[in-house]
Amino acid sequence: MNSEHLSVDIFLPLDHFDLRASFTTASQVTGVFGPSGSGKTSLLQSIAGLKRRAKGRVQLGEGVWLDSEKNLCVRPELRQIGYVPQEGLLFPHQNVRQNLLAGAARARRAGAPLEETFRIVCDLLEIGVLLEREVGSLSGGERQRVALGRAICSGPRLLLLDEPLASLDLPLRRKVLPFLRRVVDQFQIPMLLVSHDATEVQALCDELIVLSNGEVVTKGKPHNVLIAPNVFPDTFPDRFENILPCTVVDSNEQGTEVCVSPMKGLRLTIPRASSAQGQKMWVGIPPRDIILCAREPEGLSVSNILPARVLGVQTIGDTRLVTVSIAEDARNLAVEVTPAAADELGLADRQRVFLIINPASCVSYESGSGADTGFRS
Amino acid sequence: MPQGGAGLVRWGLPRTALVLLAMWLAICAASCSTSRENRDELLIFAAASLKDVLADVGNRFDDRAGIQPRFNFAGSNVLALQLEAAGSTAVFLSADEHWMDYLEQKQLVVAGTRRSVGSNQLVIIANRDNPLELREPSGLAAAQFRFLSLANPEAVPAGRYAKGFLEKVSAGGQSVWMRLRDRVAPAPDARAALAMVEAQQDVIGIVYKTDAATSDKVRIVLEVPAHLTPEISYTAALIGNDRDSNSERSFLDFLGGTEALELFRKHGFITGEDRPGHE
Amino acid sequence: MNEATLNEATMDAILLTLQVASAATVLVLIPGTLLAYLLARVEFRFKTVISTLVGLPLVLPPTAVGYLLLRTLATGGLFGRDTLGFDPGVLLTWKAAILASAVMATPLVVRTARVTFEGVDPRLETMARTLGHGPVSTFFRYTLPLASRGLLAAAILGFTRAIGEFGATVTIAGNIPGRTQTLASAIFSAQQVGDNASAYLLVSIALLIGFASIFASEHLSSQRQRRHHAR
Repeated sequence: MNSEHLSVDIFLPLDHFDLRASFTTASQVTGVFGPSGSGKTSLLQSIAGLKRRAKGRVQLGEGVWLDSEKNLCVRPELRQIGYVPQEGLLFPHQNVRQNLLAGAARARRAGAPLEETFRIVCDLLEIGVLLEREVGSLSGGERQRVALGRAICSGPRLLLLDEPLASLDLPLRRKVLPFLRRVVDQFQIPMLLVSHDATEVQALCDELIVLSNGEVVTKGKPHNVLIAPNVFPDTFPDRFENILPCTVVDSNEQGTEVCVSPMKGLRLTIPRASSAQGQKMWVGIPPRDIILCAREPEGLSVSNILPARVLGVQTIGDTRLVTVSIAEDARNLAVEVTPAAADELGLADRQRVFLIINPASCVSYESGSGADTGFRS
Repeated sequence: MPQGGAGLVRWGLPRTALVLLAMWLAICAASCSTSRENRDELLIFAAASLKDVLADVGNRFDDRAGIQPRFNFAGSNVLALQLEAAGSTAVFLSADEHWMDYLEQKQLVVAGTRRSVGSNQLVIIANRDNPLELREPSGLAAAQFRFLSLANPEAVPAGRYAKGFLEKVSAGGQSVWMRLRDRVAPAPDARAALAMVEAQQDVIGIVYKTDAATSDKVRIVLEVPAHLTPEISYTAALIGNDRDSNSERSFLDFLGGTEALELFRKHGFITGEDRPGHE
Repeated sequence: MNEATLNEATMDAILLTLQVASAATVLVLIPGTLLAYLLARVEFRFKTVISTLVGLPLVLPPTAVGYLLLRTLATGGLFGRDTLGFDPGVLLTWKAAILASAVMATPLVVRTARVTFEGVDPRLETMARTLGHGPVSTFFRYTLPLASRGLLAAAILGFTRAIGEFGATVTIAGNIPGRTQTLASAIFSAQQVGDNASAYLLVSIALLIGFASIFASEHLSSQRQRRHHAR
């Protein structure tokens, strides 16, 4: 995997607090997570060179874009950064093709293979049919895809995505998410993705940093970071889902069977999804919809029973979050239980438990075709 | 190679802009060069009210001398200021002595060329549907009207003459001007004053006889006797320097000749012999 | 006055008016657009002062502006013969007519253009920067096209103002038929001698030109409207 080392150290005074973000990452997709108003957008804009008052140091690989000590501040047009803002901001006086090629001059200057990139982008994001359309006639999802394509076609060394799916409604997000995944897999451009959606972040990011009041408070693997006590309450617990990458095994009227761990042959039945055998997907399971059982259950109406081991228990507010592991090649899951239940079950480290998962609570996500999505843990 | 839809315009927009900018600069530079084509022209600065009569005079002069004069028509005040600013050599025909005096003070009048070309008469007018009768000027003080419309008495000759006339006449121990001051409505020029009288029944005015003659919507209530007005005099002179001024001088001479005077009379101006009390 | 000269003088006036108005519009448009963009986007010292100066001809009577220009170009004035060392040859020529119209049209053009630029989403300009366009390229490829409708309106406004310009023009360019007599001053001349027939004719022509230019601008702007709607 081609990823350069990105090092960021920014100081920027803002209205209510100062942005003092400092982190380094060599991951391909790094997520920036945090509640609204925590400075995420300002951070991206500072990296892009759009905030003149930002001071500090920004470096990607060998290229230094900001170095206040040496009085170096490279102008935004020279930074080779693709920026996809939350609102897309397509140029209304041009059609889709012209928008996509807006950064063509820079791409050519950088020696990027523009024609090929253009062709791939049109295929991957399925916007080839939209090329001659006027921007005003596009739907929200189409606009976001074009905005993404435009950034990619400008020959960037770094992509900054500011809540790219936030302006879309839920069903649309599920549709556009796979496109982002495809871009990641295909182009291998390092990406900084701002989001406050736990699902997006788990599906796309290799690493996650959490910003709060302008400072980086946590950094690590997405799933782990998200269930940390100082983060979990901010992730809208009602909507937090465990995201499990899986592969489709079989599909019929009753539902779809997916394999969540090839190593152990663990399978889950989920609601019917239109996917072919062998296709990669994500399955989303809310922590509240997993039932813990100390013994192997019998005579249940559901067949989704997974053996697991307890990794740890956290107290979050007036509830408990139990981290369990089902296999080495699968992600950990977070299960929400009441304190009373936790006490009764014991839940010691390494304790064997069984997970009962109602298929109806599972949500399936297309993960985009193409390369191995990776079983990140 | 994918190109933009409106490729030519967008591709060339910065270039087109540069070309336009270059053209614009070139035009500015070119027009800054001094042009001498105006030198040989005969330019007459004349009061706007003389447009018709001077058109005839100009044509007749062309027949005689073979030179068609160009006219610059504006208010006498504007003309005087232009002559002062531009320093041109030209013939100036002012609607009164005042602006000629102004230029003389600035020493712009060529000595010995100043002469009177004609005169006009003031008349008191009213809307044709207004039955107002006046026996004599002092009757104005008692007349029924809402406004007295004049050309601006501060700047325009016709207005200044009208004010002078009203100051000379007295009624009840005061000059009529003092009695009527608060009902005076100054207009930008005599034409506007006339138009106001045409429009409103309760407005009367004082304008030149030549002005009143052009409109059938007003009637002359009283012709102001010459001895009551300040000397109304259309004055002409050569302005500037005396070199290369042959055509200007011949035009001035022509102005004083019988042909020109007849044309002036034909248009309703008072000339030479008809003016009481002047040489 | 015989018919032949009447028509010739009228044609001269119409032609001159169109030429002067077009030239004045172009003269104002280029620096005016630049200035409007600066006023819309940039904070700089004396910004309010400059903005007020630009708006001055709108506030003062045209003859007052004409008088100021006259004094400036006079022999002893700031740009007069004595100061410059040569006679700029502007007064009482067509150049003065263009200058007068340009000055009187400036506030309308600059203000309209400024409002137009303020209406162009600055975030779009920022996007262009992130895509590799420098400030100049951004201005010509993105800002101007997005502002084109409003700028066209500014140009039309300036043009129609120039067509109707009289007070300042007659002061510094004079009212010389065939040379500096515009439609407006021709109307003035006709009206001064009570020649209502000519005056009405000239007024009708002026109205016709006004209608035509406004109609053209409506037509052109409706064409562009389709392309600029929403995002």
